[in-house]
Amino acid sequence: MPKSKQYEDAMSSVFDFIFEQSKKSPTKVKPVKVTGVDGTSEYVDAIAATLEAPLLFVNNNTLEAFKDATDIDFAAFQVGGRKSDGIKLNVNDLKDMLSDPSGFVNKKFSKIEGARKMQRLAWAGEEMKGVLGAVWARQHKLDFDTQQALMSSAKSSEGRTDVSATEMAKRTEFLAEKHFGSGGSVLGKTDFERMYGKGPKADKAYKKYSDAYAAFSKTQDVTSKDYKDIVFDRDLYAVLEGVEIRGKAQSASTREERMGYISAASMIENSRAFANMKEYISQQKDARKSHQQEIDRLKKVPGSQSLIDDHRARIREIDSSLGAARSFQLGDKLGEWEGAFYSYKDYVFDGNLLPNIINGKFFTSKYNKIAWLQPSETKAGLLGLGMGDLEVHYGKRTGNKFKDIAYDKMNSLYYLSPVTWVKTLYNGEGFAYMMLKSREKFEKSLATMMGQKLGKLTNGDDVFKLLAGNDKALLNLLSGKLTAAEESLLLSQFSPELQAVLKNPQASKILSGFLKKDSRFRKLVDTFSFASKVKAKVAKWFEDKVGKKVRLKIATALLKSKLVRKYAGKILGQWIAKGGLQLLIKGLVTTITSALGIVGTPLASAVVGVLTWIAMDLVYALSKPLIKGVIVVLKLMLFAGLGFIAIGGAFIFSILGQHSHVAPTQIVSCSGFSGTNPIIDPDNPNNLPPGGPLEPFVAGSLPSGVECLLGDSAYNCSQGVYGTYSHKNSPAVDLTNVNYFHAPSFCDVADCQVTYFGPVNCTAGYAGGLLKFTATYEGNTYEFKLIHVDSSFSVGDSLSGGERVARVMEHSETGSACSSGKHLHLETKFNGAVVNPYDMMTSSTAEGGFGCSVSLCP
Amino acid sequence: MKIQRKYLIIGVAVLVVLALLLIIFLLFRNNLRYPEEPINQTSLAVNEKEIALGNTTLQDGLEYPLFTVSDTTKYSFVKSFAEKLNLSVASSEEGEYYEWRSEAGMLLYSLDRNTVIFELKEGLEWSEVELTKHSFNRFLKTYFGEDWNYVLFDKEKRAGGEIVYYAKRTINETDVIEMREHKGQTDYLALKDGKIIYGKLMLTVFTPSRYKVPLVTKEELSSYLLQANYPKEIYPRFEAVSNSLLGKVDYLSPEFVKVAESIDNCSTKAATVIYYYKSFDQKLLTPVYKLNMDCDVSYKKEVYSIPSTAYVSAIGLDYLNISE
Repeated sequence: MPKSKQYEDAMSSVFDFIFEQSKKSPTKVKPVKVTGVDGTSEYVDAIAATLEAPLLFVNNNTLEAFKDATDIDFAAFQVGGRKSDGIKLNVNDLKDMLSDPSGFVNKKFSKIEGARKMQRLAWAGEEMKGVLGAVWARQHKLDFDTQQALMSSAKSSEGRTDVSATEMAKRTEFLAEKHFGSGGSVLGKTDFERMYGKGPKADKAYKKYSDAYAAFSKTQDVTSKDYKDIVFDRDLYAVLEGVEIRGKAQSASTREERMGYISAASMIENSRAFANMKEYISQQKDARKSHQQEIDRLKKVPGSQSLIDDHRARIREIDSSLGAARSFQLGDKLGEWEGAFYSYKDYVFDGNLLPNIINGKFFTSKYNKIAWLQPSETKAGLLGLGMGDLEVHYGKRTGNKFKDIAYDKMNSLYYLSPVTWVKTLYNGEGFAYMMLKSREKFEKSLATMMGQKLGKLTNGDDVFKLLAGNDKALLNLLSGKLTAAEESLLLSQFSPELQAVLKNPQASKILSGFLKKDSRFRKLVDTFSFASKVKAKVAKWFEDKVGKKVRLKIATALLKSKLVRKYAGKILGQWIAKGGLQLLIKGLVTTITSALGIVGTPLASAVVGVLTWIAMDLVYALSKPLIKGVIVVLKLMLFAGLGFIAIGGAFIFSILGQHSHVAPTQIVSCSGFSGTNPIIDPDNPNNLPPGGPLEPFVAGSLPSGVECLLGDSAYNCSQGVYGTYSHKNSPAVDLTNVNYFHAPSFCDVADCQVTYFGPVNCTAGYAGGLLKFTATYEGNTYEFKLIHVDSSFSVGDSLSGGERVARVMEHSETGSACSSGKHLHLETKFNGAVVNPYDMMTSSTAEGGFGCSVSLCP
Repeated sequence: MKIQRKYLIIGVAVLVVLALLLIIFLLFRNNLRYPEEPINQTSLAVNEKEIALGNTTLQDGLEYPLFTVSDTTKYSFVKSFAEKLNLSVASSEEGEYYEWRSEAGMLLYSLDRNTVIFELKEGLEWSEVELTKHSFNRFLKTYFGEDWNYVLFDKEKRAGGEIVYYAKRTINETDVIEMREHKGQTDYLALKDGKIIYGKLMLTVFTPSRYKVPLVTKEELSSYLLQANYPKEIYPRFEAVSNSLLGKVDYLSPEFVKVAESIDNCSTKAATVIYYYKSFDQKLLTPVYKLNMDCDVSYKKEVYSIPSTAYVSAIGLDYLNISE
């Protein structure tokens, strides 16, 4: 037998053993003690460890780690807003995706839609803040520009769309041109001190202003990155707009108007960040205190009532803006507290601390939001190794020696977990960590010896990159194997300080030891990260083969609209190439605002915001069915091209979602049978299908408002009429992803009645309930027969329009005796004739059907 | 002194009267009475089939209290249970149903019958090797905050290795509630390897009403059962004929319903009184006779005997409001 075949058989046996043992309870596992392991091969060591302690590696946590390894997204659709808004088609979802594409996409979209609702609320909240700011400005008789400025600066930096960022950039550009352009007047430091009063605020604002002026003067190209950096700088906008509005305050005709402009400027200057909000609140409190002190002083001065009233009015304004500022602050704080609360709940309480330490979630800031308890930072793009997105968890650095030690200790738990080491088998992470630790140790010992930090020895060059890149040559140098010329060439790459190290006998001994160790670790990382590199390649292949095709399909559908074609064609082209529904939505919004003629007007900002949401809804509505359709295509592609059939017949059976009604003890063939084949039934000599032949479904139109009786989702037909499994003699369809069956909406004005309900059994056991009901509308009678359902209705009960007649039972309720999964068995008649339920369910209401979205039956 | 004595006598008299009133109140406050108006019985449908009582003994002459079906849902407990199981909201229709699904399993809270059905991939750790009626009590108390009592009446080992325990909730300490379910259970839990892996629980709260009813007499019931509009439901028990009739007629075939609908000649062997719960909006929980019967069904001109169960109203027409 060839050696490779022997190896394959041996590995198969090992895996069979591991997975067999994993099914047993821990006390019944029989580990295998392996002898003759001499520790020279990591592979042999790993296998020996697995055989001796199978459950250590094959448990839920480690299986999760394996699952992560195969976590390949092969198509992704990014929706505008946040990165988390997207639908991804992932290898781990393959089974669900192929067995129930509609259900799968619906679930993905429902998660996004939930998040979008939140974003929509957040966006609406932002818009409301802006509107309130604008209303306040109007009440104080401030001009339109100031109202506009308050409206747009209220949007938070987190949730801003590109549209509002662009609007603000345009305004910054205008103001910058006014100050810094030819004919403009540049302000000096004294101007800022006059506006803000002498102190850090004036200094900070002036610095921002003068830096922007310097940059603006240098940059002539408006398309350059430098120019864009200037105009998209929110802090610069806040300063320039603040200056603009304070200028209006100076020329205000009344004290009230002047105070209004100053408040508006103050709000805009401080709306940027939470840190500024704190400062703003503190300043406002100080200002309030000084006004109050002034009131107390003026009370003793006769004839000062009007001045006292002015100060009181000012205090009222300050109180009102303080209230708003505090609610911004509270909102931010609540978010922070909420994150920490859920982290405490999930990761410390509920007994989850240890499992989350073992599975690594504790060390990831994505899950553990308790800042002080989060011990790790991550280093990505490992030093000079080109490992792509390989990340290593590292103890957090705070500058406090004791905290840093504590975080290091906690972090080291992550690398003691078997889960991490299983992950290491496919991404090399554990070896990368050991390599980093070794480098740290080397750096420390060398620094102690040489009396200074290694970084100083290389004048800031990446010393490890240098060392790693020249390790073989350096080892040869240290062992005296290089010629003088070679030595000179090598040393010329290093700084004089590092050369001194190389010449120091003790230091070079340490260096030699380190280089060998580092080289070994790098090989291990390289070897064991092979799988994750392959994963990236596979993802790219899928993106090229599948992702682009899907986007092309969606774009084609959208381009059917003339408006979209006219205005957004170019953007669609970009989107097909690069992906991201954000671009696509931009195209649609551009289309609509152009058609309305409102681009560039102050109204555009809020309107565009609303349109963006509408456009998203539109794109969702279009893309959902298209993505589902593409998954069907993908299914065919995979089966045709990638040999998934090789996985095994049982797998195909389950992922195609076909349910067999053949129960374990049911006889389906009998070798001892000696009758005719096919059997001739004396009661049915012509072998007509039971219940009569299938008639075409032809019906008159139903009234408007009639909806799908299955619900408003999309459904899957897993077996059709007279199918190849249990429907050989049954004019029925099996539908999955159905929860409830409803009475037609016309039952409010028509006669709809339950005609039968009772339990059913197959020979192997209970199969749930069987319900029949009729619905007669304008002389036409629809009959429905549902099996595997539960219902609270009985014979003779009348049904109301849209009423839930029956619930499709969960698989465990029916005891799995008669079928292999949850599904609805549906038969239909129309005016007494047996018709294909698929046709009745999916035909439009104009054709007398119920307009349901059901995949084609196999 | 005279005046003091006068007040003392008055005081004592008042106290005595109050005490008497209190005694009268305590004696009579818990007394149930018969309904003043005929009650609307909505849990049982009507069926034109006739049923013969034969020599069956009934518990007629006894009085049974009526219970109100509370319309309070257990949504907050169900939601908390789902979150404990790391399930995510999948779909819902406010006031109708709530569904949670994730890789950990599923949970469906259906408000048509106020039942919760769950299936857990990993199962819920449970400290007992076998379940008893106290297990159901403990489970409902732990996760749904209710101290209900149950009787355990059946268990079944399934192909997956789990054992499903079937229970009926009791009411009024001794009486049993039954539902139109597989075995008439109100709840079931499946135990495998020390974990509860699936179950179905009825979460409806029943509160005592002010009313009681006398059970209909055998003589009256015999005649009522001949009436087409008397509340009764008949269910053939096909599991008893799985080796005979079910071998000939597939439950998926159109003939199956015809066989079921041909049920006739039902004769009663035994009767018990239960409380019949069918749906969350039935308003009242009323006593019902559960009849254990033998009936006939026909298939291809042959007659087969099939054990069947009937639920018939145990409230006589004196107290029942039925349509003509």
